[in-house]
Amino acid sequence: MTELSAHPAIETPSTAPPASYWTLAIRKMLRPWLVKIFAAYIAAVLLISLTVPLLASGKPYAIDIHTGNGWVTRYPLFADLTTRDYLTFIAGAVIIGIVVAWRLTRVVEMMRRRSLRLGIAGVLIGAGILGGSALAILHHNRFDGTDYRALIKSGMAKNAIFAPIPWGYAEMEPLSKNAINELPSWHHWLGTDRSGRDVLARMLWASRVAMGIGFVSQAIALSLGIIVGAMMGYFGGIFDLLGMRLVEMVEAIPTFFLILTFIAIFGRSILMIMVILGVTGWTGYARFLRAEFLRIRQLDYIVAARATGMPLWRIMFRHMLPNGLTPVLVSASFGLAGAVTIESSLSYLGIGVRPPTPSWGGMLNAAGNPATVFHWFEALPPGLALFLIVLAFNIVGEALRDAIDPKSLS
Amino acid sequence: MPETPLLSVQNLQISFRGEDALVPAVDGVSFSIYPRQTLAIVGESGCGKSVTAMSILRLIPTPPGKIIAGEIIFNGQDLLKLPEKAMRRVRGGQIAMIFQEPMTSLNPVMTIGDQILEAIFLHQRLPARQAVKLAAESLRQVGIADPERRLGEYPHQISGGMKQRVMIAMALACHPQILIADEPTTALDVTIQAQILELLSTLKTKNNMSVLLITHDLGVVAENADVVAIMYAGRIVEFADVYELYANPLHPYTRGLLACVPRLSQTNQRLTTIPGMVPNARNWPTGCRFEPRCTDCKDEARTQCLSHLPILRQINERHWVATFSAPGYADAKFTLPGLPVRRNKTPATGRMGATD
Repeated sequence: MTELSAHPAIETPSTAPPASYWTLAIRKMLRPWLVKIFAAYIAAVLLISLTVPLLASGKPYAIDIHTGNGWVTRYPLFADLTTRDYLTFIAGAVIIGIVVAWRLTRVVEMMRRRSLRLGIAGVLIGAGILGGSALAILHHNRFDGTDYRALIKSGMAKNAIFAPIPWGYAEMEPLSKNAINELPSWHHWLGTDRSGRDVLARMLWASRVAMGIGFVSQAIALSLGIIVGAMMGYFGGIFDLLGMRLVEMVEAIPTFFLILTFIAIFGRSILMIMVILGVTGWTGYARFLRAEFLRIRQLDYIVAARATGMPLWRIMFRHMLPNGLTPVLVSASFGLAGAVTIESSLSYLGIGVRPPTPSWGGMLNAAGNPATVFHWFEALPPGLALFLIVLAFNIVGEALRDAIDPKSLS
Repeated sequence: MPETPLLSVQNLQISFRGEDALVPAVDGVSFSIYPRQTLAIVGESGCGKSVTAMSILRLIPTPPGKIIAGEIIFNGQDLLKLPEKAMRRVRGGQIAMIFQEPMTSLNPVMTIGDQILEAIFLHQRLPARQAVKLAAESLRQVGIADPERRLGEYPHQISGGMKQRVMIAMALACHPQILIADEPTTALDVTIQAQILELLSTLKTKNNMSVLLITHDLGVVAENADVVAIMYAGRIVEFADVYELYANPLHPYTRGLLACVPRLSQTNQRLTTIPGMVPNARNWPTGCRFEPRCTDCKDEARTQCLSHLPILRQINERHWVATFSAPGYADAKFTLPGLPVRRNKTPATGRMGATD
């Protein structure tokens, strides 16, 4: 691996686009192999959480079914996906598409690059919105109670292509098979739980809850924190005074008990948990960004930007924000870990997501239930997954903090 | 037809909020710049020269700064009364500014090209392709080789002198009428200083603009300015065209400054200094602010110096001064300082000072 120098232009050939501050920071962050592994783990979990309906399902992708008119090919898995699943796919595809386009257009000459990127992003987002709304109107998923495995066994269906993990998260082995608390086997890679459900399928589906709560709540918190922090830091004075009092007030709210109270009043709702975590979790980001803006606003390039007649919003969000965002992002990775922990705590207490929707905390709770026999293979996977994801967020956050530390950037 | 000034500053007073009182930084400054002229404002640190320059573009942070009084007339309108939106069109579009610290004057996370293009698009409606061409052209104009490639580079990839060139390119991309250069060479080493100043004067002629040069280096002034204003303790103490000032300095402070400049012809080792310290802006003396350090005011003349603040008066066609000791000061009148003269050759007094 080549050593990163302060002047990458000297090393890189002139045809390669010069590395931006962000590229340098991320490259530096990913340099230790441990960070690489954990960053890959986060990426993998994120990818799984986005695509899990395609990865773990009791419905086959495609199957030939014998009907009155002969053999008919059906696609039960796709028919069974909810509108929300499809919207998640579309959103994910749009985001990934934009990221890929961003990377690919780095070599394009500068001015065309900007319009090209804006164009691609616009087209992708437009297509996403159009496709999404068309889907929301046209798609109706019917409840499909067919047991396709039984159909195959009875000879009424054939040529089934199943998902890599051919079990749904709530799908139980028939009681007759007495397949509860089964040890890991080829049939169930991580065994089955006390209701005869595939543990691996539940593990994967649970990543959806964890990642969803983590990323959505922190996205809300980041947006609020950036807006409030930027205002406090840039304008100072009365904004700062009132803003900081608001921060102190919100910080005084015990989030966990607030969620408990809301659940007691309104019932459990994953969306509500996300919103509460977001609305109470922005204070740290606002503090960080305020401090950064207080520092950045008196730097020469901000005065120089004002001297070119730049409007205020542009100075704040195009010139100051990218320079002050890194400490906020470091803190956001710890915030993600915190949100995942809170969600699993709630589920462990039995007041998180509603069963049978799986969550790592809920699976731990089920495994540790004193009324049943303890089985290691039920407790270990969710516990390990939870431990690793929290560790990964912390390690990546630490690495990012070290990477942007000016004392180490050279 | 007599020329009218491009920019005139009249009785500008700026204060900053201190711990318990308003501390004046600029106290009644008046001057004017004519088209295609370089006006140098000279003074030591804290005399208010940078604050004056910043206030022209209204870049003084308020609070703690506060413009107490005065007018800054540019193209017939008072910049201090202009709404923010109109002011933004003036900034960068008609009056551009470059700063002391090129190392930190460029945004580290944006490419040079993006920053120049941003400045261009703020003031001109151009198709993208043409704007890129203009950006590259303005980089070439300031002597940067291979501008197309430089456009895609980040500030950390280029040197300090090159950054100052980029700043100048950025400032000139929109063809301003006035360029305010706030100590543009202080942070650069001496050979680069000379290059940048040379570049500034070439571009000034080429673009038909005026330059307001803020500096504390009299060598720089002699080489580059048409008209000089000497500032001391928040006031202009002497204003004259550059030949007149170097040939016939009237204010004791100006004479002191000129004596401080090391000369190659001098053999003695110690440099001349002005004794004493600049008075604290929190309590300026009631009389002349230079009185405690003055060599001119002695004996009976001193009572006047202690009780009265000398204002800037025009003592001849090319010379304004604020000292009781100047010949003819008592009968002279205040007029707005400003000289529509331009240098056409290097003055005899040139080639002096440390920058040579």
